[in-house]
Amino acid sequence: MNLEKYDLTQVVSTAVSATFEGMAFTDAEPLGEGSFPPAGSEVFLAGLDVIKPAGGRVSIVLPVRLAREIADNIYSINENAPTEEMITDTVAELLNTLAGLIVGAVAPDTAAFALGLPETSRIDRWQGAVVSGQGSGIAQKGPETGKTFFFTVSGETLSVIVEGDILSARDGRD
Amino acid sequence: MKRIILADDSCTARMFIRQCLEIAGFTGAEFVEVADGKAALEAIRSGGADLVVTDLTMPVMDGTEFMKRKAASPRLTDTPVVVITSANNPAKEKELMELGALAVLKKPVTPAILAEVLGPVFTEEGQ
Repeated sequence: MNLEKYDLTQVVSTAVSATFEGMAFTDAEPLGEGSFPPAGSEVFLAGLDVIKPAGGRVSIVLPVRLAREIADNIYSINENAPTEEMITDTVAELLNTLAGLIVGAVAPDTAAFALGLPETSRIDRWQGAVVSGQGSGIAQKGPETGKTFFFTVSGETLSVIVEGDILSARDGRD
Repeated sequence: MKRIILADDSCTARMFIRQCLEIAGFTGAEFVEVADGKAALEAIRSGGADLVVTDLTMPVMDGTEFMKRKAASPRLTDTPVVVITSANNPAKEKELMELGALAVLKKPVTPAILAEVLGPVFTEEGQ
């Protein structure tokens, strides 16, 4: 594994800002201290595996209200409100873009990298637990095995979880 | 009227790129949305295209295979193609450029980036 030594906190913050400002036209502010949405919330949970240049997984927890607001913006050309399928697809596309930016920033310029397909699930009663495990699919389970970053987007909390070997870029460690 | 093919398996990505293109000045164009490279080839063959904007990772036929098929077909080689991807690297970009891509852009694209890339191609002939 030849990942560059970057500050992962900075990498994730930059990627989140670029994704949400670019696609959703909204600011994303990092939270030094944060927490997952409260139990019982309606959220989207989405994750994708990082296949190359190092194994890992990037996941997000996004409140349904925020996902709907972003989808409304993107689909504003349409006369009708976005369907549930469109909102789910929006979450997947946000994650795909975000993961690409994170892995692209962490990997050396010459490295080929590959991402898996986003897996997205709507959870009507979030249990407040953490996604974990590369290749585990969509699940709420603990304990936390990765590093979680929290952001405020349109008054809602976005959680980004990074797991696996790509974490070794964190704080410049091998 | 310009005929623009948008190839991406995500309907959100297609809609977002369409928005960006309209803001970049491609208003009034006919947008044809398809979910993979095979459907993009069929759309070009059936109705022509002034521009193709394609994702790289798609089911059925991905963006690289689409570019290979397009490069191998004399009828299609002149159609400008912009590849937009979340999984880019220099080697892949070089391969796509050698296959005739006008540009390889990293997600998320912006109207300004698209205008910059497409401006020189479409300025002479107008919208």
